[in-house]
Amino acid sequence: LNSNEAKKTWDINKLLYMDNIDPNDAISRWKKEEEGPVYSSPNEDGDADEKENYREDQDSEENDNFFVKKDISGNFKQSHEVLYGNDTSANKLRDKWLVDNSALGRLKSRFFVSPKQRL
Amino acid sequence: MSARSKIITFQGHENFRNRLVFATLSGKTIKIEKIRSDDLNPGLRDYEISLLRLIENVTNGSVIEISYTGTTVIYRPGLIIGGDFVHQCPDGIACGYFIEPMLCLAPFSKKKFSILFKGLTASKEHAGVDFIKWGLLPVMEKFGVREVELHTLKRGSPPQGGGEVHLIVNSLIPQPVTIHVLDYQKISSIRGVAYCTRVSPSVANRLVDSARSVLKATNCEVNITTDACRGEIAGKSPGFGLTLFTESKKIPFRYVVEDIGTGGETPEDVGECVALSLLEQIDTSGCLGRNQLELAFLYMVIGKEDIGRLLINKAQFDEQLVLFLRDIRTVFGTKFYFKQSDEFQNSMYATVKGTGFINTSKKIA
Repeated sequence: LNSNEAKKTWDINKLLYMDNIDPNDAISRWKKEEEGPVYSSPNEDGDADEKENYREDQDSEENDNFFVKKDISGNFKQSHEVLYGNDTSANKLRDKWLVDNSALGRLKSRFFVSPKQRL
Repeated sequence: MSARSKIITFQGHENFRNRLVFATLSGKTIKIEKIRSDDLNPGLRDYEISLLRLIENVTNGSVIEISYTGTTVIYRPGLIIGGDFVHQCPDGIACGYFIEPMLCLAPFSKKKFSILFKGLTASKEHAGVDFIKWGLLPVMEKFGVREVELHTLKRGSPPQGGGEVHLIVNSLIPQPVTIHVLDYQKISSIRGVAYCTRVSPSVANRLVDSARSVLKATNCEVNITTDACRGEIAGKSPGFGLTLFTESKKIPFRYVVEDIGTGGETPEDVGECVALSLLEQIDTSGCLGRNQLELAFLYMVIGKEDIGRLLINKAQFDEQLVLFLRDIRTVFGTKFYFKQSDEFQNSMYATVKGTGFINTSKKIA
C-alpha cells in the first residue's frame, strides 16, 4: 500500500476512540469503508469539505433510493400501508421476514436447532 | 496532582446512568456539565434526580452536588453498602431504568441488596422486568453472580403504574470472572410471557396467537405462557405486553425482546411486531443482544486482569455503544479491541483486558 491508500483504511478501533468524531459519523465512516473504498479519508486540512461531500453523497443516495422505491414497488407499498399502517420500521421487518423467505431460511440454518438435532 | 485535576468531566445528559455506575465502581469523582443546557427545560429530569437519590441510598459517603439550574452535577462516590430499601419510581419511568444500574453495583456491595421498586413494570422506552429477568440475570450468572432474584409482585402498566418489583442480590463477589464466548448459540426453543393487566384475559391469548403465527415458520418449539393479572396485582392501569426470549442448551445466554401495547395498538399488532423483532435481533446479534451488551462489557472491564472475549455483530455498533466505550476508556483507562472474525460473517471479537477491580468489602483468597 502506498501512503494514500493506507490513509483510506478506517480502523474501527481508532475511529471509536477519536473524541473529535461524532459517534454516528465514526460508525458511518467505518461501514462505508467496509462496503468499499468509495469515500476517501478526510485529511486534517480538508475535513469540513470532505464531510460536506460525504453528506451530499448520502443525500443523493437517499434520493436515489426514494425514487427507485417509488417507481418499482409503489403499488405494493400502498397496499401494505393500507393493511399495516404507516409504521415504516414494522413494515421493513414484515418485508424482510414475512415477504422474503431467503432471510428466514438463512436464519434457520444458522441459528436454529433442526428437528433432527432436537430429537 | 491537585484534587481538582482528578475530577473526570463529561458533557451532556447522554449515558447518565452508566457514568454514575462507572464512577461508583472506580471510586473516581465525576462532573457532568451542560446537562440539557440548550433545552427549553434545562437540567436534570426528575427520574435522574431519583436515580441519584437511589445511588446515594445504596452507598455510604457519597456526595452529590447539583448546580442551581441543574445543568451541572458533581458526584463523589462512596462505598457500596447495599441494604433494604423501598424505591418509588417517578411517573412515566419504568423500574428497569433503576434496576439496571443496581445490577452493576449490587454484586460488589458490603451487604446484600434487597430493594422494592414501585411504579411501572414495563414501558416503551426502558427495560421491563421480564427483559431483566430473562435477559440480564443470565448474563450476570455467566460472570459469576449467581444468586440474583427479581420477583414481580404486582404488574404496573403505563400511565399510572402501581406495580411492585423486588430485587434481591445475595451473591456478593470480589470480582467478576473472565468470559470467552466466541461462538453463536444454537436456539433450541423460543419461550415467552404474555401479560395483561385490567383488561380481558383473552388479550394475552391474542398476543400469543399472533406471535406464534410468525414464529411458526422457524419450525422451532414455541412456549409462551400467559399472565392475566387481576385485582390488586394488576396495578392501576389497563395494559398488555409480550416478552419473547430464546433458549439455548450450550450457551446460557438468551436473545430477549419485549414490547407493550399503547393506545390504538391491538394485541395482534404487538404480538406480531415482537415476534418479528426477535427474528431481527437474532439476525443482527452476536452471542448477546444489543440490549445486553453494555452489562456484559462492563463486567468484562471490571473483571480480573485477564483477556475477556465476546463475539459481537457489526450491526450492534450504534451511537450509544460508542459513547459507552468512550466513557469506559475515560473512567477506567482501558480500551476494547475489535477484531474481524474469520469464521463468521459480519462478526467481530470484542477483546478487553480487565482492570482488576476488587470489591473493597471482600477479601480475595
